[in-house]
Amino acid sequence: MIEKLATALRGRAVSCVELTREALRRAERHADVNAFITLTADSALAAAGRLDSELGRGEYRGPLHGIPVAVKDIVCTKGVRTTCGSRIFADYVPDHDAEVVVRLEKAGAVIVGKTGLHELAYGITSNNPHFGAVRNPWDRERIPGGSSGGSGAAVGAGICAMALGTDTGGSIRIPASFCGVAGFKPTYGTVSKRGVFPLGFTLDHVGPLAASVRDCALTMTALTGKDFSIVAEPSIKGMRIGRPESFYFEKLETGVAAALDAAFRKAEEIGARVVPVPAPDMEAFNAVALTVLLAEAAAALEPHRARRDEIGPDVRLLLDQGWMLPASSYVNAQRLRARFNREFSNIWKTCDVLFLPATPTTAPKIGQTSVDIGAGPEDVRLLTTRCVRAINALGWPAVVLPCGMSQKLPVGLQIIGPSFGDASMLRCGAAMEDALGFTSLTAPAGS
Amino acid sequence: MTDWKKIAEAQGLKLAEADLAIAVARLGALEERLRALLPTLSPDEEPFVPQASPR
Repeated sequence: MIEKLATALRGRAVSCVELTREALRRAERHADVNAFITLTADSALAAAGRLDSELGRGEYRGPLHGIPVAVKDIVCTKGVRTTCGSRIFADYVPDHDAEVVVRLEKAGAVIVGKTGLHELAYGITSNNPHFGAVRNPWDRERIPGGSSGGSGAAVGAGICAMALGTDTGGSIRIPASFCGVAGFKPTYGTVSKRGVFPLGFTLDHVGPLAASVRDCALTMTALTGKDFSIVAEPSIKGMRIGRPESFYFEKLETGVAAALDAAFRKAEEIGARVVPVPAPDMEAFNAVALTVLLAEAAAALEPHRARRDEIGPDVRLLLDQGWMLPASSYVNAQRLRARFNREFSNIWKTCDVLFLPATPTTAPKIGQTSVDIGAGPEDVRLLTTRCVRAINALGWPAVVLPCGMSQKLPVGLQIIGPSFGDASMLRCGAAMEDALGFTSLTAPAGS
Repeated sequence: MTDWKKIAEAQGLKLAEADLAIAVARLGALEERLRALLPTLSPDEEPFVPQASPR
C-alpha cells in the first residue's frame, strides 16, 4: 500500500495534506475502534504541508514521504504525551523523540497519532482500564490482541498504512494475527529502543505493523538505514520450510489449522519444500521466557512501585509476581535460555525458515478469560502467547501475515528465520503474501 | 517449596486473597518447571547475554 500511495504522491495525484486529512477522517469515522489515545492532527497537518512544499521543490525523501503513520503510545514523542497506556504516565510529555520517531520523520512519514495498548505493554488484550478497550476492526466485540492493539486496529481499519509496535512476548505478532495485517519483529537489537519505555530489557523489540509485508520492509529500511527492499516477484523456490513435529500444531482452533495447512500447500505449490523439524521442550522454554519477563518487567517498573495501586489488576498481578521472584530464578532462567538458544539453533541446519501459527485461535471476545479448543478450558493469555513468547527469548526475526479466514476472522501465519536473516525472511513473507492473495486485508470497518 | 505468601509479605505487597492464590499457583508452576531443569545445568553454563541494541 505504501508503494501505491508513494507513487500517487510523487505523481502529485494526491497531496501529503490530503492523505493526512483522509487518515484523520478515518480515525474519526472509526472512533469506536478506539485505536488512538492521542491524535496529533495539528502537528501532522503542519508536517504534511512542509512535505508537500518539499515535493513542490522536487525534494523527495523516499517511499515514506508524506505517508500517514501512527506510533504506539509507549514510544516517546517530543511535546506529545506518552502514556504507556497507564495512569502513572497519563500526563507524561517527553522532551525528546525516540530514535525510531526521529528516523520515521527523517524519512518523511507523517505521525497522525499515538495508538492505544495494553497497560504498560504488559498483556495481550489491549482492554485498557484507563483509556478504554481497543476493539477489533473485524468485530467490535473482540479484542485486537496486544499489547500493540491500537497499532493493529489502526492498520486493520485502514486508518494508516503502518503503525509502530513493540514486541516483548508477541505484542506485534498477536495483534497482526487478530487484525489481519502484517507485523514484523526484527532480530533483537536491529532497531533502536532508545526512547521506548522498557518492559523486558532483553526481550523488547520495536517493529512495524502494516498493510503488507512489503510495507514492513519499507519501514525497516527507514528505521535502520539498511536495505530491506523486496524485488517485484520474490521467490521461495527451493527454500526449506520447517514444520515443527511437536508443540506448535498441537493446540489449534480447527479453522486456524485449516488455514495453516493451506499455507503449507501453497508454499509447496510455488516451489518450497516442507521438512519436519524437531522442537525442544517448548513448554519448558516458555516457562523460562516468562520467568525472564516477570523479573525484567518488575525491574523496569520498580521506580513506580509506590504507585502500584494505580495499575490495573491484571498488570499489577503480573508485576507482583515479578517482585516476588528470587534473583536466583532470574539468573538460572537466563542460563537455561542460553542453552535453549544453542539447542534450538540447530534447526537451521535442516531448514531455512519455520512456518508456525501466530496465534492458536482467532480473536477472542473482550472480557473472555478462557477458551476451549477441544481439550478443556485454556487461559486466553497463556494460549495466545503459546506460539510467540519463546521467539523473543531467542531474538530471532518473525513476520506474521494473514493466511486465511476462520468464521469471518483473520488467521495469521508466522514465519521465523535465523538471527539477522531479516531481509530474506521478509522476502519469503512477501512471496507467501503474493501467493496467498491476502495482501491489504482490510476489515469491514475500514471499507 | 517456596513460601510465596511470606515473600509477598516481606516485599510489602498487599495482595487480596484471590490474587495471592493466583500468584502462588503461577509462581509455583514456574518454579516446578525450572527446578526440574536445574540439575541438568552444568556450572559452565552461563546466563544468556543479549547483543547490544543500537542507540
